[in-house]
Amino acid sequence: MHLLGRMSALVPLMIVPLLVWGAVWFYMWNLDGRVKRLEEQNRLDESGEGRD
Amino acid sequence: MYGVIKLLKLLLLPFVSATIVGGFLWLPPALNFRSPDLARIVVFHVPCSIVAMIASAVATWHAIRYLWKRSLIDDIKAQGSFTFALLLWVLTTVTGAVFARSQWGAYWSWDIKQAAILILLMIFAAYFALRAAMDDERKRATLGSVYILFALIAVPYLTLALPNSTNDTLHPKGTLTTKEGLDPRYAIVLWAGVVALTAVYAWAASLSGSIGALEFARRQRMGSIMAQSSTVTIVEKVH
Repeated sequence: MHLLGRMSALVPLMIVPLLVWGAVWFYMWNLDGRVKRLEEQNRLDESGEGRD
Repeated sequence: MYGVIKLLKLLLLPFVSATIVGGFLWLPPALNFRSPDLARIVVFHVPCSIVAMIASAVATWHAIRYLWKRSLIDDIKAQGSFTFALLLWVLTTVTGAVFARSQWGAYWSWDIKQAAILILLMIFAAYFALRAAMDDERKRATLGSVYILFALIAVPYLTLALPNSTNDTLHPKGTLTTKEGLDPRYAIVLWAGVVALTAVYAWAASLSGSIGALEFARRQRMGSIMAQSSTVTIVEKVH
């Protein structure tokens, strides 16, 4: 019971770094996708395939 | 290869989350500390400083590459890693101050490690002031790279050699290098934290390098388009 009480006191503290990490991960994941698309576009532009 | 890297990035979400949960809920309180529950911050504090050292070393590698090959992409990567190193040194200082408040009674006691990290933060921050003071891209890259080489000398001196030169410190010694230094569960979470944070840094540094390279390519394309259009204007004027 003592252990459970101690753990429940730590849970709110733990939520903060978990939420921060979740936000950082989603930001990096989305940015990763955008960068890959831009790199592909850049490659096409340089080779002349992407031009109208 | 790209698929494997993408899978690793996906697995990083549960891995880092598990390290955080392990740090808070799996670790027993450190009973020989004044505030046993808060002592677990050490498993976040130490990985930050280890990965800051790794990021500093990577920045130096790119700085050497820039001075050798003179490719601005290397300068962009060096700056990226140096920025992450500074961020991690700041996190090390903040988590260390929280630990110090709970265990030693004050956020700052001018312990030799605290004084050393303050000097290190100033050395790292000065790099950005130096870059901001120069307009010429090449000059900025060259002086920035040379500065990083000097900063790397400061890292092992200020974080390892100087604090270990005296016993007049609040920081415990041999925490990572002796068997008695850490409880096995603390050691597992701490080293898992080092692996997790290194992976996060590697991902962030790769993203920052890619964005820098894209920006560089865009600037070069714009430059060549402007040079072409000014040539056309001159040719039109001549005719």
